[in-house]
Amino acid sequence: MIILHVDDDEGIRALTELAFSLGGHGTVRSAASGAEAISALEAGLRPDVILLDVMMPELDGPGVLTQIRKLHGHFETPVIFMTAQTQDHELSRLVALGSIGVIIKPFDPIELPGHVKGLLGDDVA
Amino acid sequence: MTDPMAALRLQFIDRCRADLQEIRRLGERAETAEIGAIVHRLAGTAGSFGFPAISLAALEVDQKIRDSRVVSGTDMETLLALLGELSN
Repeated sequence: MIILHVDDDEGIRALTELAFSLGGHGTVRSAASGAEAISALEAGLRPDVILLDVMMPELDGPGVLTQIRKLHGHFETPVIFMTAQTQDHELSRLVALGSIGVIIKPFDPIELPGHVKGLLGDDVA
Repeated sequence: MTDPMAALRLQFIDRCRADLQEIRRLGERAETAEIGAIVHRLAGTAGSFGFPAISLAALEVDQKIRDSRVVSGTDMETLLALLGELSN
């Protein structure tokens, strides 16, 4: 499984890479901003899932998702938002934007790969 | 066996030390937006590195800032005390 993880926090990017590499769950390509993520996709990266932080400077997660959906071949690429916001209305809004789910931060790094696979269902091995 | 997370956890603790100093510095200048950004980051990250109490305390402050509610001195002191414990 190839994961594109977009988060402006360097520590969380490193932790996510570790979480997936430890159990051989997948390969994480990290991006520090929405612009960096979009550049990677434009350059041909084809992730099985995109983990997208909601609150980022300049372009926030929902803004990044809007840009991703405009890219050729990424209209249906699964996107999972990651957020520290826990209010029901906020979580519903994020799903309504076209994500397949939301992971609440802080997340348990050991459980993260399983959580992502669970949201993907049968979409990925 | 070496804990593969240990190095990342130490980096996080170092960052908490810097955050504590930065929050105090910003507090003297009433830079609430910048403080809010640090608090939000702590809310979303500390628990992942094994420090859930910091995440909970930060989330309490973060939610009040977002809801435009009053952040009490106690709320902030609780967070700063936890950061201080971690930094020592």
